[in-house]
Amino acid sequence: MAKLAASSKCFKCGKPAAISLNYMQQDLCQSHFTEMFESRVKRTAREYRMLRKGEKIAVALSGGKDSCVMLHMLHGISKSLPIKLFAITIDEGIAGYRCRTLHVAKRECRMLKVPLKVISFHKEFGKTLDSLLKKKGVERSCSFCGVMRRYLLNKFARKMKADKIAIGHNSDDVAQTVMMNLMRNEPERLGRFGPLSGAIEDELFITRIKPLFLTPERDIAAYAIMKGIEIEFSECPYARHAFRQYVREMLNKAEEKYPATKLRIVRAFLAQQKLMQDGVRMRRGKEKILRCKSCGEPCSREVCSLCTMLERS
Amino acid sequence: MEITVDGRKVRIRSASTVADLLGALKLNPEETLVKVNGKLAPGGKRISPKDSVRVMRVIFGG
Repeated sequence: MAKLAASSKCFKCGKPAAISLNYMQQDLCQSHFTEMFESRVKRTAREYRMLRKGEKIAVALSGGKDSCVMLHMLHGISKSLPIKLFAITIDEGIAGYRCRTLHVAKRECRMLKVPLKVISFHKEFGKTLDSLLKKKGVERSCSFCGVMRRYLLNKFARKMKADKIAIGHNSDDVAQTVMMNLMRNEPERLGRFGPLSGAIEDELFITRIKPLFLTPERDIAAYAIMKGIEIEFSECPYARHAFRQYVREMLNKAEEKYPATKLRIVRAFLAQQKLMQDGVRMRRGKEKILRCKSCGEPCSREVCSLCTMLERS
Repeated sequence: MEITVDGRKVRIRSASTVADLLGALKLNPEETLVKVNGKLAPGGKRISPKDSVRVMRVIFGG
């Protein structure tokens, strides 16, 4: 195992430390950690011009730690930058899991006075994720769920006149996505991925922003605990079947031995992102974004992947 | 020494640190946070049998 920082004193002030950050080779006290955390999120939002005065932001709120912390951060930012926030929670219909995080989402929105819209798979598609996976099998659960969630988030954010959708992807998610796309030889997907979406523009696509893009998942959990944000530390029952879970474990093992591996993957991706985006624009620029014959949403084929998927289920 | 982790008794070397504890439990520090006597603690924090230790797994899918 890689050695944790040897000192238990804060690197900045010498007071008792609350956390070891191996990727920075520093221990920090609660006050300096939260200060560093908040300034990193704000810097990310500023650097990628994620937020503009007067915008209406739909916060994709699952009720897990990442989206709850992002909601708190955006709420804090909204005190100095006039932006309007509302949250969208998707209830996929996962027995014994989503009801708990849904409760957290409702509680946090009530506390911060942020309007919340709950949208369910059952109401929109006539089936829950649980019932869908009984027929489809659990192996591709995250792919199905992801397509359905993205579809609903985009559709309802647009319906509610949002300028942007804020997604709680953290730097661990980013490193995993980069590795997964490399391991699957799907580099074009990376051209459409980033802190800010928009490689393919269409009036029906709402821009997605990721303020936690450069923030490690463990830091988010620590911040939630330090700030007294009551989070459910629970795992989606389908997550263990996903390819992402394999990549997550692989990267965490590498991180333990070679600290900062995950952030280095994110940085390497960002250094090449422009080239990959240009590649997508060159190829896709000649193609027209179509409207799905079945649901009318934007897509690259005659029938979108969601409608194809639901038709086969 | 014997220490209680999330209600379970765990045997570790005396004068151990949080990092030693995670090593003894074969837990990846990248996936966990540790509270000692109710407060988050860094890897170098020394722990004694009198301490109440809580190890939290905080990296999840979903």
